[in-house]
Amino acid sequence: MIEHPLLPSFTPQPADFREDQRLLSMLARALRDDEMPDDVMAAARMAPELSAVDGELAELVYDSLADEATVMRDGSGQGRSLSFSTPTTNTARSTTLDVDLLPDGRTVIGQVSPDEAADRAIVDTTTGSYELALDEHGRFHFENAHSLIRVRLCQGTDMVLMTTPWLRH
Amino acid sequence: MHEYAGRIGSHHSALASDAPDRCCRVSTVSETVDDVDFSALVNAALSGDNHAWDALVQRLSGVVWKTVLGSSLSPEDRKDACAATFFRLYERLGTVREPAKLPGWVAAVARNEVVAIVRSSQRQRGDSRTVLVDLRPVDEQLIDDELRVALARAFARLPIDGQRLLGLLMEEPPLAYDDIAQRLGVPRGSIGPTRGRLLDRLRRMPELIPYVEGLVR
Repeated sequence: MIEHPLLPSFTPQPADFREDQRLLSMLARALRDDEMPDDVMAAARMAPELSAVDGELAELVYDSLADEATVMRDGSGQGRSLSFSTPTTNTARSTTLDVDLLPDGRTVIGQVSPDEAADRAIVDTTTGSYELALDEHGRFHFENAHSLIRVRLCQGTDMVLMTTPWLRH
Repeated sequence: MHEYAGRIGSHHSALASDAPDRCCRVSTVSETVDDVDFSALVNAALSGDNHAWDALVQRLSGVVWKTVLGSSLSPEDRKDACAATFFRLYERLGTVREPAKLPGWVAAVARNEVVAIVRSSQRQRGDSRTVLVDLRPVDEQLIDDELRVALARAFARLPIDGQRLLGLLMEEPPLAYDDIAQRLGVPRGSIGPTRGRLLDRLRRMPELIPYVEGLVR
């Protein structure tokens, strides 16, 4: 073993440089800027502002990703379906929110039941929040979900019924 | 925010209640310092101190970025994975029990985000290989810091022209040889052979020889 010129006591793990493309890609990684880019840093700093939890944290009751039969199915593109609910209490029936994340990677369809439980949904993304009115069947439609999203169901001007965790398509 | 603040209590009382545990525990100096720093920052961030959150982002950004760089994600998806990691961290900040272990924890979250992004795009394409998603630990694709330094130093010893050529060959997305030839004012046909010679020279640099030695033993 040749003594390492920089760190005499250091025993390097063998690294396979024999193949040109591999050496080049390791070199690229070694030289690539080690710091997280500024725009990502700015987005990360926004987390507290965009993450305040209002109302109940919704309980996940179904996730198609956890359903192997769905995951294993072959063929056309698949989205993800989830259901959330608030606990039933003595005074209130639970509210359910079904969320479909479509296979286009950006569309979210929500369905609230009972439909009169909420009148608005706020969809939070890592870059901003969007307020959507529910239709007469308690549904909403959102097409700008490129990354993480979270849904808050609201009734009236300031009552938040539930907030989902952050989700990805 | 109120839920978190109520659950955790004030920044000072949370720190005070942690103190006896830290005093009794045997640990290295650096671990204790990190522990104190991270618990103070976590508690302050939970009680609504945005400067503390900014400091956490700053302190943890290196480990998150490095983890994501080791993946095969596109540049845009890498950024997405990093931002998502910090949103997940903030979401679960109130459940952090051992703040000193935050760097390892966020690295694990970042790896999960990488896997989630790969799986999501495969699922959307209807790619039946979804279940075969690249489950190799991202660590395997990472190069350690020592090797990173060795490679960077070896590269710095190449002639400037050689550094420029290799630099262009490492661009993302990749440049066509015609583009590179035009930018450097060299014949297109010379690029391949020069690349090979430069990489051979790099392999023989004293910084990298120990790694190659380890390989042939």
